[in-house]
Amino acid sequence: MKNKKMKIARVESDVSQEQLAEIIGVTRQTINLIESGKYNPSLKLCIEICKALNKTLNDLFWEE
Amino acid sequence: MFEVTDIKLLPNNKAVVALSFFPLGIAFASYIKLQTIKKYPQKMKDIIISENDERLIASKNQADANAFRILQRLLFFSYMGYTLMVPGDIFEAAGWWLITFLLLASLILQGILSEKSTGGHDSKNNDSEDM
Repeated sequence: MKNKKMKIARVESDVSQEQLAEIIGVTRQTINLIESGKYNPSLKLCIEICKALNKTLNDLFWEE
Repeated sequence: MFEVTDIKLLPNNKAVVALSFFPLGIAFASYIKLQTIKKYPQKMKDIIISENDERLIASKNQADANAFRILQRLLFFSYMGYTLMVPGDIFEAAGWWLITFLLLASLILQGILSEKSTGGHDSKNNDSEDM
C-alpha cells in the first residue's frame, strides 16, 4: 500500500526524494520504494524519516 | 616423517604463484577502488550510503544466501556423483573425504548459525524484564 502521508509530508517540507535520502543516509530508490509501498522500512528507518520531516510515527506510518 | 608420507614442507614455485593469484587479485581491486575514491571524492558518499542503506544490505545478504545455497547444492551433487561413479574411492581417497567433510561442514555450520540468529527457543535465554 502506498505511503501517501509520507509523500505529502515530504512535499510540504519542500524536500525532494534525493534530498531526504541524503539527510537520512539511504539511496533515493529506497525512499521511492517506501513511498510507493514496495518496501517495508525498519522501525529505525521510520524514526529517522519522521525526525527528518518533523512528524510523528502516527503521522506518517499509521494506517487509518 | 615427511619422506615417508611424501609431503614436501616447502611448496614449489608453481604452487606459490598459483596461490598468490587470489590475494593479489583482491589487493589490486582494493587499490583500484582507493584510486577511484581519490580521483572522485564524491563517490565516497555513494559508497558509504551503499554500505549503510538497510535495503541494499538486505538484498546483498539475500544474494549471499542464494549463492551459498547454490554452491551447497553443487557440492551435494558432486558428492553424490563422485560416490556413485567411483565407489572404489569411498573412505579411501583424500578427494572423497575432502568433499564429504566440506558438505557436512556446510550443513552443520548452516544449522548452528541459523540457530544462533533465531536465538533458539530456550526460555533461559530470554532477558528478564525489570518491573
